[in-house]
Amino acid sequence: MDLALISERLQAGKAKEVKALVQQALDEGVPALAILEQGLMAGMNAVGVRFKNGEAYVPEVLVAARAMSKGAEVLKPQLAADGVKATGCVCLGSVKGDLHDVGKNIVKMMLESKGLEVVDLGIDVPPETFVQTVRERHCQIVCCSALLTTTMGVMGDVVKALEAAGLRDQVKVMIGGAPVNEAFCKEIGADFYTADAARCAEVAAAICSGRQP
Amino acid sequence: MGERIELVKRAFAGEAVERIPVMAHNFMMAVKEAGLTHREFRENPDAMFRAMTEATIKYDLDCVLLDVDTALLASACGADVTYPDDMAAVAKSEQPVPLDELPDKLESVDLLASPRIQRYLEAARRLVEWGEANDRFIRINADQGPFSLACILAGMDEFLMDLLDEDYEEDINRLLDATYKVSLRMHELCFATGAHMTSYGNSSEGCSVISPAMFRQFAKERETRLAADLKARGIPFLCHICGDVNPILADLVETGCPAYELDWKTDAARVFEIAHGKFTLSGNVDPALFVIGSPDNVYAAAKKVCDLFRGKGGLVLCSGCALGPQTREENLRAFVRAARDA
Ligand code: B12
Repeated sequence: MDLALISERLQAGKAKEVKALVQQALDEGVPALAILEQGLMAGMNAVGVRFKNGEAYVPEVLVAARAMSKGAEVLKPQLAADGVKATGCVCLGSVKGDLHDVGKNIVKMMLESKGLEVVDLGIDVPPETFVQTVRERHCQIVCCSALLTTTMGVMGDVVKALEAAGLRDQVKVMIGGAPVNEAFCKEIGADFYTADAARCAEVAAAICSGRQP
Repeated sequence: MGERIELVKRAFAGEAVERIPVMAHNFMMAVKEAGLTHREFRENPDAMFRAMTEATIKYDLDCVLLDVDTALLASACGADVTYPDDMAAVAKSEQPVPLDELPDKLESVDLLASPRIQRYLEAARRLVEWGEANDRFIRINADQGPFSLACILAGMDEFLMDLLDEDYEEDINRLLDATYKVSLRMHELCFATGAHMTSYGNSSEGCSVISPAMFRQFAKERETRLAADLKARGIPFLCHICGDVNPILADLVETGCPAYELDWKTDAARVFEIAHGKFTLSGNVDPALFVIGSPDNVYAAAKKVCDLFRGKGGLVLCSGCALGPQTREENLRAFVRAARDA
């Protein structure tokens, strides 16, 4: 099967078709990793690029992401059987006081499209929860999202809480959201800021594979 | 009628006024400066009244904008809303009512039965009285517009995805017609307090969230209809859309809405170019600048907007979206000064 077809149907947001195509590809003996990389991840990357360029909007990204997760469900058992592991683990949340989650959800999908495991902590996440998750799940990256000037400061608290817990050296902290910028990232001692989800995923993938982001 | 009220009315009518009026979207800051919690503010008309009037006097604002959160209608419509002590209330979108059940549910909603709305309207009436005595223009926000309310009630992510699915088109249109009625009713109630103007937030229809094509398919016709219905009732109003609307500016000109409140993501120069003489801009200095910038930064940003419109009308200087509670006092003062100097 031509895996580009999976990528194409994923970009069109057709969850049921993607699910069926993934199953068909598996039945034809295509390796699960190839389906993941050339089908699902390729499709999601393409959507991410279009979103970044202003050619796709939030709904298109959400439906593509839903299709990706449906396809991934079918793939998961085979990936596990083949010994394919996620390339890294990221915990992600909208910080305490912030209930905006549209951007965070897009960041999640883009991270997953890079083959990363994402622990989604949801919204209104206190610093302690990030710390606890890093400890329990051995995440390499903490991603904080904040859309309000009121809640931006909480991202600094996350950095401090990681320091206090003695975990700061083990993780990179990435931050983002409408009011955040590079200068703020430096100010609070976080590691990386990116303006959009596609770039966030690129940086995260680089960190997890030991490359220079 | 007082001079200021007259000035703001004329500015919203698009006239070239002697000085550019200034309005702040400042309820969160006002709550903090009044030494209140958000809980105290939203639960007590006296507190709303005191916070808003104190801030209006302190900063010498021309207008009062009453707003409490983005979940006033959602709560009256039965949505699950969280009420934090120290933050504005927000509707949760975790377990929304299924799309096809919502319109019937909304049919039976009686806004006046909501204690939150009763308190809000009580505060509005008191502000209106105060505004008459103190020569201030009173804008009472009628919470969310049809599109944003639908997003909140149906669950943001689910609703946005459903927009792309033809199978749901009919349900979506039924829901939008139902939220339309709720929104129109809220405008009527707000205007009945004696307010000079009402407003509504429809930010989810902007291009930070949906595409221009979707705006045209689902939102534009209702915005046009709402404008006509409000005009027919003699209600002056504005529509607030924060986030990027650059790609749909020409559409906004066509809805007949007399004023749009836009934030910094939309280019004021383009607004002037495309919409001057067609709708009035309420905007558009970045609320984040009021927190992280200096008074000089805020003054310069405000002056830049004023310079575009000076002597030509079509502008009420505003932040274009809610100012955060940590907005620095000297920054809001610099903002007002920029309007006065213009
Ligand atoms: C939709 C919306 C809402 C919805 C949220 C629904 C939801 N489920 O999320 C509702 C109506 C509930 C809402 C409520 C409020 N909102 Co609001 N909202 C918006 C709006 C219009 C769009 C946000 C959005 O979804 N954008 C689309 C996504 C895709 O973009 P994004 O979130 O920026 O994410 C991208 C990047 O930033 C980045 N990114 C995001 N997270 C991360 C994380 C990392 C690690 C990285 C690297 C990158 C990254 O990647 C994403 C994709 O590329 C913005 C307007 C604007 N100008 O942004 C205001 C805005 C965010 N809201 C604002 C305000 C003030 C509020 C309220 C306080 C309003 C009120 N009156 O009560 C409440 C607060 C609620 C709360 N406690 O959180 C202000 C914040 C101002 C400020 N600087 O403080 C904004 C900016 C509007 C404005 N112009 O002032 N809001």
